[in-house]
Amino acid sequence: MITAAAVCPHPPLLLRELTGQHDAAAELRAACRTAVDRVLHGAEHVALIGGAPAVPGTTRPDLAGGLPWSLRVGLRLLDDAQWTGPVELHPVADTTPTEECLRRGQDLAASSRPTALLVLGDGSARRSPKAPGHFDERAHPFDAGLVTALRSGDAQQLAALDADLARDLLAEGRAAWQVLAGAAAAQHTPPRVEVHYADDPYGVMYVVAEWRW
Amino acid sequence: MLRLGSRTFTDDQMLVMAIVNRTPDSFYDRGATWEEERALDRVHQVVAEGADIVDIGGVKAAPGEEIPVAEEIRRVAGFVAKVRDAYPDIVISVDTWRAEVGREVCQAGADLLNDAWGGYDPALAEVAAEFDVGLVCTHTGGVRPRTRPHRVHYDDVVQSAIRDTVALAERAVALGVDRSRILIDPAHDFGKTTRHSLEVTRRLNEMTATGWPVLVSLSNKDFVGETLDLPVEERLVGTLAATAVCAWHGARVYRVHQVVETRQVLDMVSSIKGLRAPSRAVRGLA
Repeated sequence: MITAAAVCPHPPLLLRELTGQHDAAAELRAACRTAVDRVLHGAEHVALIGGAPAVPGTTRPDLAGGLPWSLRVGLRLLDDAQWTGPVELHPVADTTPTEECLRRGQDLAASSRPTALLVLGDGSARRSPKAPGHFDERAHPFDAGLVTALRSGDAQQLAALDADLARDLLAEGRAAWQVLAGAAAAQHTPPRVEVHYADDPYGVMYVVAEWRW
Repeated sequence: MLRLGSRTFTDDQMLVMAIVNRTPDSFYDRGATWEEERALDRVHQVVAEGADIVDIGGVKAAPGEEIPVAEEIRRVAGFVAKVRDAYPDIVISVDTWRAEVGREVCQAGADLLNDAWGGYDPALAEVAAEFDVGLVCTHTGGVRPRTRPHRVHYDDVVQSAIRDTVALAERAVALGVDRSRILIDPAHDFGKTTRHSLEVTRRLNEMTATGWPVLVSLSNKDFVGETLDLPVEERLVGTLAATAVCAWHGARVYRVHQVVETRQVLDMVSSIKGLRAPSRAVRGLA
């Protein structure tokens, strides 16, 4: 049973010790904190879902170098929220096909435990000439669709995100969001949604949202 | 731990000491702050720029017109009192070798006696002890104040600097100066050729290894000018290069004309050493 889901981005900037004397991500971190706090309320169990690089030629996440940024940031957000309950880690390789992502979401929803999801994902990193991946004109329409889907609690629209386009746009959230789409589709009702943040201060699209059932 | 005035500084803090001359003839500013109002303006400016210490001097280092004790006191003591009134917490240093001057400026509120001529007047350290202020112990090779080096020779200039400054520091402690208020200074250019000053810079880690906090006074000096063949107004880049090397070797206090530029170099070196977080770090992390 999924009680709620928090959707947060996972730039390393959210790790405070990496950002320097001036906190370059204070507003974003505060928004994540709000979403996570609210989603954890009443939960007994947390499933952390985050994209990961794949072992070349496979759909398995490559964890040889440790946890991917998505799960590292997710664990930090849980620490910041002083979560001490059980946490299950679900790294999802960025090559995982949409169908498999949806199936994994359905499996999570089938659990008998009241579970909160913390879904880590970033939009395109090609939103401006100074963005990490420079500018790609497809980035804004892609992210606009993503934001609409997250704002409206639309699992189908998340499921429709194109995996190849997401990879081209360095949008590292696609697989994780589609796990969320699978879980949401298995619920009996659409979620109540709140979006706490949607901006691209450094050329990468960050969205913080909260879905509750 | 270094204690200066009311302030305490940790071992990884690097401090900027801004030069404020109450002289009509110092080599770099050539009397720009000779008038008291101009000197006060300079204090306001360097404090705003982030100087930790102001170093007030009434007699230029180079040979020239003799300045009697009374005239040096007239130039600096009242001015120290005014700076103290304006800035209760700024560390005030006075650049003097004379005990009589030291006594007057301590009464006016000075925190540190910058004995730039290497203990020429042995009573200056006694004044530091009497008023519980700090003392800078410098190496000049034993020359008289306000003389230029002439055919100087050292078997090992760094060893000489360490031996003399540490001896002055230990003597000061024995006289009752607080150990945590003492600095040592190899004194670039003082009693030294350009090669001596370069060697002292290159091997400054040997001085910092003594454990005494090291002050360096590099700003726009002749060893920079001779090294790069540049006049006094074009020595900033060379000064900052020497500053970076001294910072890497662990010098703690930098006596300077240019506060902002020095602070940037010290912050940069401190971050390279891993002692200071970058101001803002986003690159590669967004």
